[in-house]
Amino acid sequence: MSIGKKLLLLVGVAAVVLAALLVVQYLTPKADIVIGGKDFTEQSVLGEMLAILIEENTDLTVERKLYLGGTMICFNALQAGDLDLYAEYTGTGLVNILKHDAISDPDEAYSAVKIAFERDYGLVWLEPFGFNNTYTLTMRRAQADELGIHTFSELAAHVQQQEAGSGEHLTAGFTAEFIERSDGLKGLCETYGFQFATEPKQMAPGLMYKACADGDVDVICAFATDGRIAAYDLITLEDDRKFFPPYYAAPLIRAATLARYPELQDVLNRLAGKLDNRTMQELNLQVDRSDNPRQARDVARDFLLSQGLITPKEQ
Amino acid sequence: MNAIAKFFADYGAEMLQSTREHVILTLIAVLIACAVAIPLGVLLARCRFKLLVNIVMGLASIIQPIPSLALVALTVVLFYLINGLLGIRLLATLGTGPALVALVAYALLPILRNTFIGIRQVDPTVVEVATGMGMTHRQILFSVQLPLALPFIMAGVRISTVWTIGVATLVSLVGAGGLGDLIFRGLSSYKIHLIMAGAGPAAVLALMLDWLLGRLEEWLAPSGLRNTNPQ
Amino acid sequence: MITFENVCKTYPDGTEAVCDLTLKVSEGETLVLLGTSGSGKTTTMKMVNRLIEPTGGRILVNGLDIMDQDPIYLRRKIGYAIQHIGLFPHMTVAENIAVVPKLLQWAQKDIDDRIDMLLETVGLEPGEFRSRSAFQLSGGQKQRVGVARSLAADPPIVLMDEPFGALDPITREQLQDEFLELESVIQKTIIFVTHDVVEAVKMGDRVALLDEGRLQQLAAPSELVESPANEFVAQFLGKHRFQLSLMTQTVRSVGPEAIRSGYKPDTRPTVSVGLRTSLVDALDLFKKTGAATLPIYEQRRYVGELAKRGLLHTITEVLGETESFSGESNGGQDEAGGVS
Repeated sequence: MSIGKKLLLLVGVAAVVLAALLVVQYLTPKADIVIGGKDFTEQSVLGEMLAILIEENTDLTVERKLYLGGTMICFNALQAGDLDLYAEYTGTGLVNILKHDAISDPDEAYSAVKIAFERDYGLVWLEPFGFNNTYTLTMRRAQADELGIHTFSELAAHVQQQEAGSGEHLTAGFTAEFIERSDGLKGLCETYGFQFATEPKQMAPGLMYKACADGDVDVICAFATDGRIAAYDLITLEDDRKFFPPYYAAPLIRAATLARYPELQDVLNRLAGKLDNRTMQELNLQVDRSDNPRQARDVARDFLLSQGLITPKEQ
Repeated sequence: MNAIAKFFADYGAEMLQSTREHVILTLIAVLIACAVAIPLGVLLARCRFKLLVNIVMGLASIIQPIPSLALVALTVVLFYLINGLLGIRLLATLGTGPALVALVAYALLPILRNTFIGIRQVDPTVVEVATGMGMTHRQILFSVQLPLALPFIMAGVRISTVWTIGVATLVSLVGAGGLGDLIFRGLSSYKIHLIMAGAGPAAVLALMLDWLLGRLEEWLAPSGLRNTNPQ
Repeated sequence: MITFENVCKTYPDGTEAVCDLTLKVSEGETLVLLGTSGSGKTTTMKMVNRLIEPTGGRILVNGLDIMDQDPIYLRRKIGYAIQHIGLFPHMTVAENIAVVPKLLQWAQKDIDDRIDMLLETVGLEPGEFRSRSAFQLSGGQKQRVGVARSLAADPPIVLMDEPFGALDPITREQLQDEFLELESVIQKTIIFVTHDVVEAVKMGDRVALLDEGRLQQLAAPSELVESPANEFVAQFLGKHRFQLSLMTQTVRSVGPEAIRSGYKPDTRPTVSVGLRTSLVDALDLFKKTGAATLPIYEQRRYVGELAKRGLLHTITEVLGETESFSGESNGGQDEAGGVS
């Protein structure tokens, strides 16, 4: 075959392949519901719970888009309609998205975001799961005890002494989001009046805990419900000036989606109040532990079964 | 051995799914990039307006230095802004839409540049003879210039493909799926085996596609150039 | 066959490559366009197949103005061979030769037969060379393939631009001789461009000497050499004049005292000269055979015996003539001289 003919054949095949791929990519039926999740374990567990609940209790199909790159990506996608639902935290909604000042009362915070989100964004907050996954400052228990640091103020005082030259040099490791958000590092330092001597290291949420346990960093912005705090013998400090708002997690869903599938309201609210801090921590730990870790979807499924929220399948 | 079997039992289906998504995205991006860059490269190579050539190549080159992650993120932001300006949800801000735009943008330059160079480096004497013998422009392009430019073009496609496989691992951050899903989960929870479940297939894919393209180049190679033993 | 009528080529920047060129090329004739670089010889040749378009005057091929013909079809009927050959590197020898026949949609069998025939004609064994690639050929072999390729579709007209220029002198001479033999077999109208006056005299039926786009003299080689039309031509011949005279003057011009009647041999001898054998070829034969005389045969008629001494005497006379001539134009001797 001459080269001209070969080229022609190649172009023809390539065109057909491209068309086929595009069909597969864009014309395969879309799922009814798209559930999103941020880039840490708890979001995967919650996301799977929501997904499995919907799949088992309704006729709807669900697509999961987990491990997205952060709050704003999820929120913008939700607004744009590329996501239908994900688990958001009241504090995040209040301070980070609405850019309000923090409200320390959990119920007030919830009402505030619920009203504002429905009015301004067409997004509905359903019933909270029951746990408060607040940012905390966390250190190794041994070191905290040794330095006598149990509250944020004590930490602040210690760090300021560092500046003056005395005292052990403490390093910090925070997530990118924490460093950027107004309800994160900046606000914290302002409220408590201190600055870390060395720039805090930026790291992924999943890596912080081990880093702290190994001694690579001393202070991290741990999530209160992360199981590894207990597992690695870390201790959370007390937010004595109540800088951090409450972060109660609840499903955040598009009003349009709710209107189209009203049955979702009941189904998703079945999780209301079923998860307290301790339970959430345990579930998270099952996925995060290094010894025989489990998959998020299995952990979610087992939990739902144990709560009778879904019926067991016949084997 | 048992651990490996368990690993595949646990993650096998997911690896397959992610690999499938990854391959589809890469292939679509590279095919579109070829469809745009090769004709454009040919046109530019035959174009006599230096300014135009410089402008187009310059535009294409601007993309390359932008770190791939930044480009993916920028595309998402861009789509979001466009939606905002137009007031309607025209472009997806998540998923394969913005991902493909970024991937195609990245895949363009190597192919464009190599096609351009490939055609330009064809010996002008040979083109003159072809013209003198009575070939039309199109015949010269398909029978003389493209066959002689082929090694360059294929090199560009290979570079582009391997590169795209790498960049495509990032698009999971914007919900486009692919092997990045596994990698980021592994990173996020510090599970090395998950990272490998994502990175391993990506590396294998890169090698496989590169090999396949090499065989394709051989199949296409004109007979005159096949005998690689000069007297 | 090919007619130039007041043809001019002026480039946009004002350069006049060819000025007011008028000449006719007869069918079957080999016309050599001779000149230094910049003389317009290659431009002239390229105007025939419209690779360069004339800006003034007309060119007629077979009575038709070339500007009225489609350039693509025109080119397919004209063979084209250039100095750097330009073999398609991605094609085999056979594919290279087959290009124009394929463009003309010949049947594959006809093409294959033609390829074999042409390769044999240029002295390349078809079985061995058909599937070779361009870079597996030596310079001489490449050039032969180039010639074969230009003849592939049996075009009535062939344009050759310094086809032997890129070869070493020995190969070049060999190819020139082979080509001359080829020419006598195939009847083609050939326009042959060269800067080498010796080659021009050797290869051409007529020679057109150009300088700065203008025709200086159009004549048969012998006339060009013996009667240069102007100062420029004379200078161009320069120091080659003696050698050229030996090439253009024939046995006929040897004085009658050198040709003696002799006894016609019973059988025609293997070695003989003709009345039209050039002096230099006759000398070659004497050298090869070591004879004192050689028989002269014109067509098949026995004419007489040529004495070597007589030949040498004539040659000395020619030398004297050319020397005196060069003596007159001694001043320009070093500047002119055909070979750049």
